[in-house]
Amino acid sequence: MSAAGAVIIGSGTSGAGAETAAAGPEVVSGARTLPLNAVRLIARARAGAKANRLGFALGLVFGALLVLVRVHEYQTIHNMLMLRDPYVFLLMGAAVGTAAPLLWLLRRRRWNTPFGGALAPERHPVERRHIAGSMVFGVGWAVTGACPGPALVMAASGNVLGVVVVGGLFTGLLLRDWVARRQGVPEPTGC
Amino acid sequence: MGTLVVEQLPWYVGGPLIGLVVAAMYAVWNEPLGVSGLYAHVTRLAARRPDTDMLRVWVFAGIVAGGVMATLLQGGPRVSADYGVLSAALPLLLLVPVLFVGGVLIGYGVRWAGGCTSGHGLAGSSAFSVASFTATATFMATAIAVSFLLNWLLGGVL
Repeated sequence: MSAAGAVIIGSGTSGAGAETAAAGPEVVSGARTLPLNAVRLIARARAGAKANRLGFALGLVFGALLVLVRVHEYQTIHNMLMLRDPYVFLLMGAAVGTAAPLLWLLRRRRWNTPFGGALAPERHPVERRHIAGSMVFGVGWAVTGACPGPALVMAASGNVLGVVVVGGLFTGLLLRDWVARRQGVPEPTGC
Repeated sequence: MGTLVVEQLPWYVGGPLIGLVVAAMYAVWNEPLGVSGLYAHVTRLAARRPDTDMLRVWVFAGIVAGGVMATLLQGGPRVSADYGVLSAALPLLLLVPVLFVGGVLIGYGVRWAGGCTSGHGLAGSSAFSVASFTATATFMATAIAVSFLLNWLLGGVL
């Protein structure tokens, strides 16, 4: 139950309402399927809502970068998937090539994150869902030329068709949660 | 205003900058930067669930704001319904439902796989997660194969 408590503190949702809801049985299932490490949530709760709001700044930079590399346009992704232009492959390679050694260095120096305790990136063994889910996603990606981040930015940039994709995305996400609940599968935990 | 920001950053500038954002999400919050996870927590917030992670909701809002900001800097926003060669291949009346169904497939798939191009492709891969390598290879290969298939089905117009 301490995990559930951490969730409520860490969530930062307007206090009283969340705590009242926490009394219900639904929280138990929420705690069981908790996708986040309780330690990290406690650390973030201690840092206050500031830790969460700082996330807005990170999102701001990420969203702006997605526009500046033009991955929010169908043609950019389509040309990559048709193997006509290596730009996005090089882009993703350069991003991983930058983040991976940085993470490796930080881990080696036992980096203590300001809002989440000791740095410990999650690693997961391969499960069937990683392959099956990615195949379904791959079909949608090929059709729309959009993945979740760029789709959001496509909509934000004023393309109404981006709003259609984002609407479908939310629908599909809720559909999967519904199917998983019916099958008794726990909610996915991160990546 | 149009020339205030370059049209498209070269990959060797944009890529490392995106990599820094991925590393920052880990270094500051100890979390992977996975956008499908952000969507999931927005649905939780909408359902008023107590296990909503507000950090992820804030990052989601930030991405939208960043998209608007960069578009403004580039002289936008231009309200449009442009979809490149797909616009030319399909009438709008057909394009809208096709894109919606495509969106449903994305949402269903990323939720099932527990991540997308950012969470698995960038963050998980940078952390050397085998699940992320596998997921990335799978959605890349699938998307390439389906793109070629769609192009063939539409008589090579894509």
